[in-house]
Amino acid sequence: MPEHFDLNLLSAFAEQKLSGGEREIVLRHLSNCRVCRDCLAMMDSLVQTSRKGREAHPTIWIGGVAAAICILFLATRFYAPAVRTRRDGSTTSILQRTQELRNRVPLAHISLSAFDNRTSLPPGSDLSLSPPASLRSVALVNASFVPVSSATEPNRITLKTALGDRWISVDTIPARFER
Amino acid sequence: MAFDHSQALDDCITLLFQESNAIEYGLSLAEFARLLFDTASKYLGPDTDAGEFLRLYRTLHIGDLVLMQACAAGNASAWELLIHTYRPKLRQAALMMTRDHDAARELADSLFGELFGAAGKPKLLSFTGRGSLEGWLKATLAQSYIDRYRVEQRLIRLDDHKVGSRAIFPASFETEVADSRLERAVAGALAELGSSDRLLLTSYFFDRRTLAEIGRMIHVHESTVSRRVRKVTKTVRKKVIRSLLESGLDRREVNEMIDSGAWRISLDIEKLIYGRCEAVQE
Repeated sequence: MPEHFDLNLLSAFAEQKLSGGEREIVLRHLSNCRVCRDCLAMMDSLVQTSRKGREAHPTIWIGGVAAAICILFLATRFYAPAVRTRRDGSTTSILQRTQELRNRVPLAHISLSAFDNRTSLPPGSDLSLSPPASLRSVALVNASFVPVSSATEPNRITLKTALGDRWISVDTIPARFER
Repeated sequence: MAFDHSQALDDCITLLFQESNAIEYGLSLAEFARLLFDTASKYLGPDTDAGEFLRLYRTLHIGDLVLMQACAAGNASAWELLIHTYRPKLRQAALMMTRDHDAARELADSLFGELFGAAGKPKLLSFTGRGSLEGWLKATLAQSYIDRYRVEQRLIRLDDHKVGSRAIFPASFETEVADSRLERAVAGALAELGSSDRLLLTSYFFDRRTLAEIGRMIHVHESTVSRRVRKVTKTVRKKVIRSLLESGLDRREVNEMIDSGAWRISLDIEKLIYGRCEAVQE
């Protein structure tokens, strides 16, 4: 094993701990010794690599937290065994409730339009199939507030509901509402 | 300076002793003072005044120094702390060097073997606390890796030569002796450079390091390195031309010599610039 320059001074030089005289000694040696220059360069690359690693950590950490929040949200939204109590006293989970709402909602494009009374509610169509309470849910689930189309167009009906003074337009009329 | 501290030094040593964990490792104040004095004596001359000792003591990484002394003395908790704290870091550093898990583990573990001195004086006693222990360990690791790499390179070259698949030197390689006047002129110009400028030139032209790498090495910005390399190169060229003109050549001959002969003496320039690694007694 060959004799080497004092690594204490070399590492202190790398850490900028040396004063003028000793720094000059190290510089002079470095200008003459390729091994020590390689050694110093290698130490520098180690520092750079570990610095990059440290800088990458916050990104990973923040990404991890964001992913965890998303998973938590989705789990709560769809799979959490959260239990709700219905008005009649029975219980249901959020998942069940969502499925029920989906099943109840007719495959219709429902939109709200305030104070549009061009077409009145057909006699007998008292929304018994879609009571106001569930209509609110329907409106929320399929919240697509497109303008009410002309009453002259076929397959369109405008219903007045208990949701205040508003009109509900059902673009695709379920079978029960056909004229 | 004999081992006789002034009052200010004694106060400083007492303070450092209290701040360090020397007591935990069973080091007495007298032993601690001796350790500091012996360490400082490696860097300060015999006629150095107490003020210099004081300044040096304050810059030492005392905790690391005490830890290594405790390890050398066989203190089990110190060993445990050293291994627990630094072995993972060294293995990681070795992995960055070797890019091979097995080789990295072997390199880092062999360094620990050397530290505790399988034969002769434990290497850990050569740590003086001028830089951090982590920095010193990484420097030792890097040097160990470079030594191994150089040995392996030599073995490969010899092996190649023996089987005749590749010659050590190309067959067409012919050392062309440069004009001695040009060589002298270049050597003179390089000798006049300061160590910092010589380091710049060698790192940039011979080691082929980037400006950014050199900048990090000597702690200046790469744009500063770029400016200085240009400036130093220009200075060297001017000095070489002036020296050649003074030696009796005319300007046309000088230009021809520089244009045609610069590459031929490149190896000689390397010899001129590179010295042997100066051994400094640790």
